[in-house]
Amino acid sequence: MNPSIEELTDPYLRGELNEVEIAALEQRLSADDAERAQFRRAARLEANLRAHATEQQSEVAAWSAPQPQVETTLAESLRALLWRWWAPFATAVAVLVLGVIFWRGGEKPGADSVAAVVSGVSDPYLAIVIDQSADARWAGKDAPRGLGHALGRGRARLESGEATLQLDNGVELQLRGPAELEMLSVDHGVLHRGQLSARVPEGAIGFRVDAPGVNVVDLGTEFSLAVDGSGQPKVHVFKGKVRAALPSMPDSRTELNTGESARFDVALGKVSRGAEDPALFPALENDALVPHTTGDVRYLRRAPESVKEGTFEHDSIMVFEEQAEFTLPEELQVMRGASNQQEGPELSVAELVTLPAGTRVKSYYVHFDRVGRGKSDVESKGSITFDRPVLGTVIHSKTLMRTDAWLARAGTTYGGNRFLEMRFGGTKDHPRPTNSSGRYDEVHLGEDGRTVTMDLLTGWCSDDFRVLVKAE
Amino acid sequence: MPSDPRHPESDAPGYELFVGLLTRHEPALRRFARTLLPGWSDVDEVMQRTALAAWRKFGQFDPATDFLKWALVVARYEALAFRRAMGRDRLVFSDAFLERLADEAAEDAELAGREERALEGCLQKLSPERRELVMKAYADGTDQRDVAAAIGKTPAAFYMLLARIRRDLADCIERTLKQEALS
Repeated sequence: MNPSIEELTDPYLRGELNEVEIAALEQRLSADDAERAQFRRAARLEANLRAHATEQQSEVAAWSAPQPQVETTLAESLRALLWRWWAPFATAVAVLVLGVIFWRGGEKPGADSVAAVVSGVSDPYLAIVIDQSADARWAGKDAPRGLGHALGRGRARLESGEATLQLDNGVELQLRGPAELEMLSVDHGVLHRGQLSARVPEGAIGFRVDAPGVNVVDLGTEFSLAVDGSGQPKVHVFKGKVRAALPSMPDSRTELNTGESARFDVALGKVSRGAEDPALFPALENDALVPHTTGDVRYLRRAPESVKEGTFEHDSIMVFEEQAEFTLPEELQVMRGASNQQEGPELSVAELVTLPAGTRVKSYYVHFDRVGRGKSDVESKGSITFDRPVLGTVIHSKTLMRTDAWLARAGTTYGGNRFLEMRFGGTKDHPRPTNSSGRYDEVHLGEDGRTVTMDLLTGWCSDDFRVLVKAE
Repeated sequence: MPSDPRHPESDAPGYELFVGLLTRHEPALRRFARTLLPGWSDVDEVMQRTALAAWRKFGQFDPATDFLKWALVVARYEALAFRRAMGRDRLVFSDAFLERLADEAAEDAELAGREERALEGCLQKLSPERRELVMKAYADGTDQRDVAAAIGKTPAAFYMLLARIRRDLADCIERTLKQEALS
């Protein structure tokens, strides 16, 4: 039997094929477009895996250094970036990197700020808290500690109050305490007790929540689950459809549609369909009014207490509303318009627009302060779509500081020393600055005029900017 | 921006631009070279030669054009020249076939970038044990046979395990790109 193309490609990429085998592989690849595409795909995957592994190797080395000096960290970063083949250029690149660091004002403080990190989940986190009521109290070693905190695998108890979690797959969970939620994966959780409502976007259909003795699988919907001490979990569907079953009773499988409810008697193995009181279940906020996010962008329903550098660290890009309505007392220059995607820092041109005095704006703040210090840059990217036109972004640091006086949210502490590195492209006179990886932060306004996409890298300081949209 | 007295070329016009562009497109160039050459040591060697050749020719580069396309041409020439210089013609593909692969790999450059981004998410979906294994296997300077020995497997069994993981990752990447195309 002929070997599969994979069985030939793997040893070829390891350099283990002999002359005859290489000739046979070439003959086969020459004759079959699909197998040739598969071969190229395998080679690309090999290269990408090596890039990831080497980058990780470099980061581990940087972290394990007892007292990382700037030079050491640079060397590690360069190693990740350039590997062995760039020795003739490495020193000169180090000069460029140092230049960027000096421009940003030096390395951030390390140990002190780590204590204030908000997302301290060592395992890849599955969700973050995007809102919680004033009386919300979390408990348990795996529980988040408040707004913006992450939830990984494990059990979290919400002793009181309500909290909204957003999972990485876009699922939104509204939890009402006292409740105990265990996340097994981003697609699967267990509600041991309490009440939970879920909104599942199309891309996450199949999301599953179990209650003791009951499995509930989403088929595209908004649904709720209530677990009390009665041994009779209740399921209610606000919108769409779910499939629920007692796993011990295959015949108990039930599909529930919009407005339908069911009670599952685990002990008797009995399913009772009927109307449960919707008030029993926590209500989901009307998502038509909430900016829609993709990728690593997270919209916080509540503003954090501080966005001062080092106090609200996360590997997601956080956005929150600052002012619902504000009338500009004087004209304000903002950036808008999409920069082009061509190569070269000097080719993208920003469109500057002046908003006249008297313009009524609603403001949102974008904050990206990655967790930790001293490693190579962390990249996060995604988009946010508002329910109304974007008037522009405030990116330049001086303008950002100036507009703090108008738009900063009461109760939130802002950093006094922010080093911005983003531009809408940049101009010939002011090319976009690069970060230590030689890449650029990108912020674009979409053609719909409502979507801001961003691709940000931070390593030494936070990235902050404002988005101004039209007020009602 | 300070210059480096030990490297007078860092004062040359366009040097900073060149370094920025080459850094930015290094992953794409490396993927391209990997498609053309068996074994990482050859790829590393060709990447170094490509960087030097690209710098020497940088004066011919028109900044209004696509740097990656230009650099891919340089890398392609260097890969073929390296193969000939090393007298390894009999252990790699024929010239004609390599040219064909190079044409197609250059067309894949944009797709390859999306695959790279999708891989980040797909690696996170692996179990921690498999993720650690694959990261160890592909770390720079690692001999996969050493990793196999460290976990008590024969190289053949380890290669099969890696192949399964790669297959899962490839499927995941394909799914991710399809979902992106739909959204």
